[in-house]
Amino acid sequence: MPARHPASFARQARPADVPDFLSEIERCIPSLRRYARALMRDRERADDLVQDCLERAISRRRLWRPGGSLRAWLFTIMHNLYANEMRRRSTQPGLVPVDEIDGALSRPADQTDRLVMRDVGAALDQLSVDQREVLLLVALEGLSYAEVAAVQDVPIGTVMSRLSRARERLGALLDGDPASRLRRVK
Amino acid sequence: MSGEAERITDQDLHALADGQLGEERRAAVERWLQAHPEDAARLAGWRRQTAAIQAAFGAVADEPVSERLRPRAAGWRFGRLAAIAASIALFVAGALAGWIGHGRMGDERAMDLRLADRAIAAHRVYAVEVRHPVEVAGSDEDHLVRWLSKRLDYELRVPDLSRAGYRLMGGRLLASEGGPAAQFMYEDGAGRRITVYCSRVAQRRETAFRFEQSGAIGAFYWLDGAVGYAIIGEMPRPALLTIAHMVYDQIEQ
Repeated sequence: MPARHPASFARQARPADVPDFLSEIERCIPSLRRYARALMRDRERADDLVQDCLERAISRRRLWRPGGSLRAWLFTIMHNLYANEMRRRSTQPGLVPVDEIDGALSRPADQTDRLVMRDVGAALDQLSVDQREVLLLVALEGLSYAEVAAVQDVPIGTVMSRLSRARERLGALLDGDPASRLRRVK
Repeated sequence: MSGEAERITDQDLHALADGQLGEERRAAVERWLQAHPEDAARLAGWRRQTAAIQAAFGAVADEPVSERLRPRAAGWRFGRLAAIAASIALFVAGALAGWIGHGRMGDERAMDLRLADRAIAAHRVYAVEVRHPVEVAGSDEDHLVRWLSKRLDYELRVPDLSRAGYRLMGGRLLASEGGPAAQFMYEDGAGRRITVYCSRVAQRRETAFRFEQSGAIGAFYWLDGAVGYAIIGEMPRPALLTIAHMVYDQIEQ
């Protein structure tokens, strides 16, 4: 069987007719990156996820219905891509490069910032993926419960129970600390 | 339903913490909290969590957005997903071919892998070189290309990787299994080096990108007819893939 030449996937037409759609999408990029970084805590992998999400959104822009929340739609695409990636990882663990956890913020982070980042990040890692997603979409991205339900394609009741369990677990992990580091955050 | 029987649920508390509680319910929940300090404490804890999450990750949104994440930038390219899909398709195709044709695909794979291994070995030897990293400097690019093209008996192109922040240092001639091979070396502002390796191959064949890892060094390699290419560097795989695409695009034009 002949191997597929890279050219067959390296080039695809770029949509040229949708400047407004692209502007709208570009406005969402900072938020997509922030969410992906918090979700994966690895700059390269998170940006890969964002890039994949943008590609898919642009290639499927005809499925987008104006009037709804574009940001929520993008998060839905990202959720599906991330779920796929998690599946792939669980079946092919040997193919996954182990990258460093990204601990750097764009502004110079002082010791307290780093401490908080590591604690919160490490605590988030203890949650199930579904719980982590719900908590981050609500607490970091400010999505409504209904939007989160649409992103994960589950009933609102499921979102609420995931949120509730996520907060309970996070509380046990973080407030269990003797110094209660979270109180130092402004 | 009126006042005294009103049940306040956890859902109400979460909604209040997240600013998603309707006005009409808000007063009732706040009354409830005054009478139930343990719930008020939980809610305060959730708010601290939210503040901590925002403090930890909020700044990511202010980071400069790299070109590959801006659909209208020159550096934007379609294809990461397609490349993954293609590599999976290739993997499946390879597995199938292995079943049907045992051996042959395996031999080719092994041959291709030797290309990657030679490229990695050459990178190991020369990328650390301080005084003589290259034989012919990048400042003499025309001569470099003519010389190496002549020795490989193949019209080589030197990829421009300045968009990725890498400047051509130069190149050198290497001995390889099938005869001469060429190595081009690049360096970024921080002194990190990557090499591009080209070698004639015995059988004309075309392959998709493949990846090989050896310690901290990664290699993307592929065959394009009579010549095999490898891109070698010490960086996370996605970053190296971006550069491999850049090289591929320029070589194919």
